[in-house]
Amino acid sequence: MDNQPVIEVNNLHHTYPNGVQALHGIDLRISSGEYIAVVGQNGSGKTTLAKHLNGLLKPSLGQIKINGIDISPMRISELSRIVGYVFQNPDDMLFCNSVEEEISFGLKLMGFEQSEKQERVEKSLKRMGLEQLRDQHPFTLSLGDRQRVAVACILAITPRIFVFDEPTTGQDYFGGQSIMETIEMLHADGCTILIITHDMRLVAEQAQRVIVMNGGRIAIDAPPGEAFKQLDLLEKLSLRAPQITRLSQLLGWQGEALLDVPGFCDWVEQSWRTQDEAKRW
Amino acid sequence: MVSVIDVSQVTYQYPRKEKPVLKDISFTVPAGQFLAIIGPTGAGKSTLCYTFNGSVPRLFGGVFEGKVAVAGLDTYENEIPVMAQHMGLVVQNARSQLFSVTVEGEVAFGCENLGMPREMILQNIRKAMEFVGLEGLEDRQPSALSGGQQQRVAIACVLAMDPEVLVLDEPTSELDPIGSEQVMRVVARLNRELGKTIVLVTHDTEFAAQYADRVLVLSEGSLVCDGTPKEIFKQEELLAKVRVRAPQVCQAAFELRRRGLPITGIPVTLDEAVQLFRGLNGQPTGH
Repeated sequence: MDNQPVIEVNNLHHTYPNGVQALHGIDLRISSGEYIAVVGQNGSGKTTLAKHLNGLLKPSLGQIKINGIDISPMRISELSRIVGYVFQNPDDMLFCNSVEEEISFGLKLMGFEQSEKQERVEKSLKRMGLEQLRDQHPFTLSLGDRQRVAVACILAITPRIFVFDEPTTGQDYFGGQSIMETIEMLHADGCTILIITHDMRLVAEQAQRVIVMNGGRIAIDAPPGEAFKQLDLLEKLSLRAPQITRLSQLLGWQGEALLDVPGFCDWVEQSWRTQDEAKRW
Repeated sequence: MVSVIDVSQVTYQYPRKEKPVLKDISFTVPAGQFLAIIGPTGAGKSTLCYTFNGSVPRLFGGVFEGKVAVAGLDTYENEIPVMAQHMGLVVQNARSQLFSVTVEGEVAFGCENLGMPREMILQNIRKAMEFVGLEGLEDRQPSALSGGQQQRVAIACVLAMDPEVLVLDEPTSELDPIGSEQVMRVVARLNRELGKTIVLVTHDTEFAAQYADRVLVLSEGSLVCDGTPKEIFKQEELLAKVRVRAPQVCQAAFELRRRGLPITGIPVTLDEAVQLFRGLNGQPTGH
């Protein structure tokens, strides 16, 4: 197997034109098929980092390689075939009169031939479960459906890396669940996933690796079970483990952080069942 | 008890929409209560908030039936600036309501528009800034602050006008966990220390359970449930039906009860959960 990382960030610095230094030397290796969550307080540099991966921002210093190739000379249109960027608000990228038109727009810009374009549109509609909605105007759809349309547009271009900027923000439970399922599906297809989020439940339940940003630097880079163990450090970084993780720690759990309700219940059930009958009341 | 918000048989339909977004909603809020409104996207939560200052239907148009009174004033009949003296609205994205070049100018703006005397404005700004924990940042540019700080500036802006009621529409949904917690602590203090009536719209049921006295559940424009956090969050089936996620501590209790453990009550806060699960079999052992 190739050990070459799919994304390699070397000593990345970024200073905005107004003088704000948003990134101070980021080093990062991401392997193919990883599911990574980038978290950190507002202003810690998460989005700045992500926007370097699709060329929306250029490094002030340092270098980014994708599939071993330095991306700095690449155009955004070239990069968008490799890295799909899903904005927080799907309305930022939807403007056509039908779902189908919306999905074919990007393909048209990329110069795909009619037959291949149509094939890609069909595949993408099907994969995202949007076949019934193909003729609908995107703005008549629910937020969750619009978000799926936004993903479908990018999916049609078949990038192998997806960046999601705050995919669950402002969504209710059901909407959040639906986008989480979409991301999980892309990951199961072998795509490399990077999400930027404040949603610690999403991080705990889905991500394989958490990168905590603080003041333009990486403060923690670990699997969620390890990252969410460090309560005091998290608090300093303006973060907090999910409620169930905190509950287990308050009850004396000391191992790898328990990340979801079933995991917590397994532990409680097991320790309850192994209690002496007499001690059990 | 004196009610400060009185909603009576409100049905409302936005212009050019086929269905009403609020359907025959009635409830009253006693002065000093901390009320949380939860429900899925599209349930009508924000629209309901907009009826409290009259921007629904005054600004939005549409078909409005029923009556909403805040501090005894009919919000349909009184102009928004009149209502603004009695209810302050803080929206989800504070940035969309901040526009001044300094925090101080921002906080002063509402008071200036109400024509308050200068001395009083200065005093109100100072008190509001202190209350939300932003003293010292008066000369900063609001856009240069963190999301949590911006949200607290937005709260200071309405607090400076000293309304009886503060309505916050998803104030923490774009904030990091600690920023959210800081905003919620300020909101709780507005209620406890200043006696303000609070209406909090949120998707975060863990905050609702921790801070609110009472929870309303909206679904598809109707009020489907009204009770204390304990009464609301113990109803697993109802919550699933209206697509609201219970706090994780409730979910754990539901699940353990299904697995046959003797769960005697449903905890709604972290503290209650610690008590309940400790009592289950002495302290569970680590590892």
